[in-house]
Formats: sequence, structure tokens, C-alpha cells
Amino acid sequence: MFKLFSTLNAKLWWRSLQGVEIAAMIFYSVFIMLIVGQFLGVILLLLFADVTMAQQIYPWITPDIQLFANFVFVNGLWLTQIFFTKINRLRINENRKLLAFGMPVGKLTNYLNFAGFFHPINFLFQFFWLLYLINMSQSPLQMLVVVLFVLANYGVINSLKWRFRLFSSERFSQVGAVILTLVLFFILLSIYVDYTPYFVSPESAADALLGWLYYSPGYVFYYIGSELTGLAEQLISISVLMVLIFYINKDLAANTKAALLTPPQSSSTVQKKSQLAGFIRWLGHEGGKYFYAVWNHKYSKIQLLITYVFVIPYIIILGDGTYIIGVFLTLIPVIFLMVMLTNMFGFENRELLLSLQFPVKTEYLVKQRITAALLICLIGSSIVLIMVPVFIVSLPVMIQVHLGIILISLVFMHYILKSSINNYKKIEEVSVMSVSNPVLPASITFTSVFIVTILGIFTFIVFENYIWYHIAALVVANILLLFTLMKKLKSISVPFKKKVIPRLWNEL
Amino acid sequence: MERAIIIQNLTKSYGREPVLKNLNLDVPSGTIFGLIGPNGAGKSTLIGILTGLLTYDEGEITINNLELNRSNEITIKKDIASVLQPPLLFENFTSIEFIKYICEMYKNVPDDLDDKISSLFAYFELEEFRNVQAKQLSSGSRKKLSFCAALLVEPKLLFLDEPFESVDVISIGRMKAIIRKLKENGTSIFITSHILEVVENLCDDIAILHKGEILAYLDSKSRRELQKDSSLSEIFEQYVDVSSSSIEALDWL
Repeated sequence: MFKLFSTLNAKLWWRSLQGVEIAAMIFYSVFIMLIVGQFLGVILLLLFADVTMAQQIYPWITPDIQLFANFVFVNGLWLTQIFFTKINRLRINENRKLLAFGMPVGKLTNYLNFAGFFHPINFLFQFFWLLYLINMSQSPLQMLVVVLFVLANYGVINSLKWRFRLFSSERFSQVGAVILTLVLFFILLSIYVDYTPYFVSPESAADALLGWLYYSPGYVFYYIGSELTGLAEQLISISVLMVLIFYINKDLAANTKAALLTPPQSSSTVQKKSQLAGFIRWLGHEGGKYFYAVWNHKYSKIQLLITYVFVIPYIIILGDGTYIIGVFLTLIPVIFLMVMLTNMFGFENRELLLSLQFPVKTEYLVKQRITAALLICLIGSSIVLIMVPVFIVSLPVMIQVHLGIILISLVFMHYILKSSINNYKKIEEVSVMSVSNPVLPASITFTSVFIVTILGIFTFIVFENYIWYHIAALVVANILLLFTLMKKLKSISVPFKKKVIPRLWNEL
Repeated sequence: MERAIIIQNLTKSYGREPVLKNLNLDVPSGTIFGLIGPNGAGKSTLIGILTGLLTYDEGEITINNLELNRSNEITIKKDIASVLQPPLLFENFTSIEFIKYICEMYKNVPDDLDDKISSLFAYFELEEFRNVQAKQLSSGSRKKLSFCAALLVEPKLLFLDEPFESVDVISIGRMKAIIRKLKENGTSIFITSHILEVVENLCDDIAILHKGEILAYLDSKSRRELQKDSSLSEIFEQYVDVSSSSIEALDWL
């Protein structure tokens, strides 16, 4: 049965690779390889570099600094693991069909959990932890504790992340308010607290922070790998961890099983209030309907919130150069564009067929959808207009950054519009399980960041002597891009009719 | 007799595979017309073309005396409505939002729209789902909701693709009563189905479509003659060759 399961999923994965997804996969792999290289390099340095030897080259390295580096590393790795742990269980909607062909639900649950554990990203984190902690361990029993702890850590992250996603998708306003309050708090903190001593030298950073880091979650890993040497301690840890793993495993199995057996629409709930009328009033019948579908997707709002939550504090903390400021600010309109325009004809794929039966011109329908999407992007990205003058004082540089952001946004608009026609794909029904199937897959997000970073070199780096020539070039490029975009928009209903409608019909 | 639909030499292919081959068909106005055929005969493709969703390769189509082309497309669409299989609904809309949206798109929002909706919802027992999102409705309720929306548009020509699939027996009876009433009011109804019993008692004229070709056109008079000696099912089997599909071939069962 496992062979059948593996064959099905291998085929599903292979057949899903087409066009932009291959590019995304390549970019994502590059990103993962960079991360792997970084982490491996750090692990090797931390584990094998001799402090006295290293002091000959870097006299500032002391045992305290090395300990500090270890603590920073374990906490960094743990936080990265929380962010990147994949909680999806392959394509659950396809795999669910196996139940109808005699696959026992318990078995399928185990297979899916097993596959989740061995997802390359998840596996890499287990590998890093084991490599780092086992090398520090002094006895086989301590190694066993390490292995069990790494397993329990994966399970706890998975279980909590799962619950958080479900919770936040149902209670967006509460979660949004908490996150925004936290962001505001950190922004204020970054304004009023002087961070200079922590960045002046590693020694001062270690002095100031080492004491605190003993209370960080990462220290638990470090402690287990390096200091948990007593036999009694180890035996107690093993028993506690085994009980914990047993219950976590039960919890993960229950989650997967529930997702397999719960149909996407579980119960009918009466809905008295809806924003539909408002959206239609502002964006037109088709535009409002489309935005309503995007807005109602469980993860659109979270994705957009994350855009601000990540981008703005990053600029505040790291934004000391035009390039970084430009790149980060560009991410706001780009992510807005992607959420609003990617898979424009897949959001409510079959429903679009009904719209096409109305006595309204197809050109009008398609254009109204795109106009609504662009309008929302413009409103959502208007914060960029405020942020640029806040961070950049020089007027010519301000103009250059604005033009650069517009240029990259226009490039993305071209790309996404083309992609929405050529890479049309229906969005799977959102089931309990597909909480990890957000609007934008991680691979696409990383690819976009990569592209923005590269395009940023041509747009945001300031050549002071030639800045007005640079601005002129950006203006010309923007006009050309805008002109061709308008031309494309004018005729977009033609490829829509030829490529998208037949696919929509086939799905019916 | 006036024609609701005139199809001449219609050809449609998906890639190299022809789905409709040089098809000719006249559908009289103000009647209930049934198009029957086995799975894959091309029935849904034909409805897709007639409702303006699919393009076709060759041929001419006239609907309500207007040639189906770019310039007449909107005028034609104003007078037609359809219930497809599976029914198309706006999944995030509540039932009432859906119905009102459709009426607004057809610019058919009479003062008594709310009363009409209420009476229809009561007739089809949809009242309790008034404020429930379409995606949460059962397949039968979805079909009934789609049917209600099509009625409120007040079309001159109504396309029904497998209209009674997933619908309970009582609601089927009610839908049939409405279809007959529509016919009395002069609406033309075009039904496709692969279930012969559905069309046998309801339709006036019937055409048999098989592998993209019309094999037979039975008007009410010729049907009466033929059905004296055999059932519609037997007539259907005469036209659609089923000799190769013998149960004897499944002797392993």
C-alpha cells in the first residue's frame, strides 16, 4: 500500500511541475542551498574551531563570545525552524480519494505524517539539529536524549503551528490586532532603545546578552547537547520525552485523520452580514465579486498582514541604505499584486463560467476584475508613498526610489498577468488540512524576493553623479512598461477566451 | 412554426478530436425540447456553445431569430438562462445574495423581486438556506437555487442540463410543474439528459445525439407513432448501437 501511496504522490508532484513552477522550484532550491550552506558553515565553525587557535587570527574571540555565538545559533535555528516547518501533508484532497479505494484511514494518516516529517525542509532542520547536538554529546545515552528531543521539538512545532493557522484563519481580527500591537511595540522599542552597544563589538554584545540567553528556548537545546551528562538526568529526560512523543504523535495523527475525514464544508452556518454589497458598490459587480472571493480566502488577509508585519520593521531595523529600503518597500506592492492577481482565473474558477453567461461583454468582465485588483493593490501599497520620504531625505534619491518601485511593480504586473492566463490553475477546495496551502506558495514568494533583489540592483543603487540620467532612464522604462501593459490589458480578453475558458469548461 | 434555435452545419473539435460533426438542428419556440444521448455524445458541449461559453469551429447558429455572433451576443444572452450540471453558483455568496446578484446582472430587478424570491424559496423549501453560503448547500439545494435564479431572470429560452440530477422526488415534481407552466407562458425550454424517463413524459420533441451527430429527430407526432409499439428506451437503442456492449462479455463477474 505504501508503494501505491508513493507512486500516486510522485506522479502528482511530477505532473504539477510546469512553466513557472519549475522556475520557482529552482529559485527555491537555490535559496535552500544557501540556507544549508550558511547553517552548515556555522555548525562546523562552532563545533570544530578551537578558541585558542582562532584567537591567533581573531584576537577578540573569547570562550564567552564562542558561547554567545552558540546561543545565537541555536535560537536562530529554532526560530527559523518555526517559520519554515511545513505542516502540510502532501496533497490531502487527492490522497483522500485513496480512502474510497480501500486504503485504511489509519494507514493513510501514518503515511501522510511520515511524508510530512520527511519533507526536504523539515528533514533539513532535523539533520542540522542532530549534526550539531550529537557532535556535542558525550555518551550514547545523551545522543538518545538528543534524538528524542529533536523529534519532540518537530512534533510540538508542527502541532502548535497547525493550531495557530486554524485559529488565526477563523479569528483574523483578533490575531491581526495582537500582531499589529506587537509590531508597534517593537517599532517603538527600536526608536527609544539604543542598540549601538550590542552591535559595536561581539564582546560587548556577549557581555550584555549572554546572561539573558540562558533563559532563551535555544538554551534548552544547547543544555541537552552539552551539559546533560548525568545518568539520572538522562534517564528521566528519556522517559519524559518518550511520553511526550507518544502524545504528540497521537495528536498529529488525530489532526491528519480529522482532516482526511472532514469534508471541506462541514456545517451550514447562517450569515447575516457580509461585505459583498460594499465591495460591489466600490469595485463594480464583477470586480467586487472577485475581490470578495480573494478576501474570503482564509489566508489572503494573513498574507497581506504578514507583508506589513515583516517589511516595515525590517526597514526600521536594517534600513540604512537606499538599496535595502527600496527592496523591502517594493515587496509591499509586489506581494499585494501577487495575492490579488496570481491565479486570477482560478480563485473562483467554475463561477467565472456563470459570469460569462451574463449579458455583459467578456472584455468588460475581465477588465473590471483586473482594474479592481490593481485598485486594491494601489490602496494597499500607498504606505510606500509615506515610507519613502520618511527614510530618504534627498529629493532626487526619493524620486529614484519611487520610480524604481514603480518599475519593479510594473514588471511584476506584466509577468503576473501573463502567468494568470498561461499558468491558470484551480485553487483546491480549502479543507481543514490545507491550512498550509496559502494563497502564495513559499517557493513563489522566495522567487519573487529573489527577482526583486536582482532588479533592485538596477533601480535602487544610487550613482550620485549620474542620478538624473538614472532617473530619466527609469522614467523611460516606466513609460514603456506602462504603455505595453495598457496594450496587454486592452487585448487580454482574447487569450482569456482562447486559453482560460476551455480549461474552465473542462473542469466543469 | 417559429424556431427558438436553428443550428446549421455546426462543427466543434477539442484539438483533433471532433465533438460535434456537421450538426443540424431546429428547436421550435414555446416547446419543451429534449436532447438525449449517451455520456460523451456532445450534449454539454452543445449547451456550452449555445450559451456563449464555448466557441465553435464552423457553422451557423440562430437563437431567438438572432445570429449568434459578437455583435448579437449580449442581446441574445439577455433572453437566455441556464442551469448547468453541476450547477454554477458563486460559492461565497449566500443564497439571497446570489439570486439578487444574478437579477442585477440581467438588469431584471422588479419592485416585487423580494416577494418573488420568497415565494420561490418557499416552493422549493430553500427558505432556511436564505442566508447560507452556496458552498455549504447540498447538491440538491444547489440545483434548486440555480433553477430559481434562472427563473427570476425571466428568460425566453431556458437551457437545462441534467436538471433533475441530485434533486429529491418531490422537488423534481415541482420543477416539472414549473417547466410546464413556463411552456404555457411561451418560454422555450431546452433539456439535455441521458436519463430517458426524464424526457419521455416532459418533452414535446426529442433529438438523439450520438458521437457528435444527430441520429434522429422525433417530433411529438412521430414519437406517438413510434411509441405505440416500443418504449423510448427501445427506440434509443435502435439508433445508438449497443450490440458491442453485451453483458455476456462480463462473464467473469
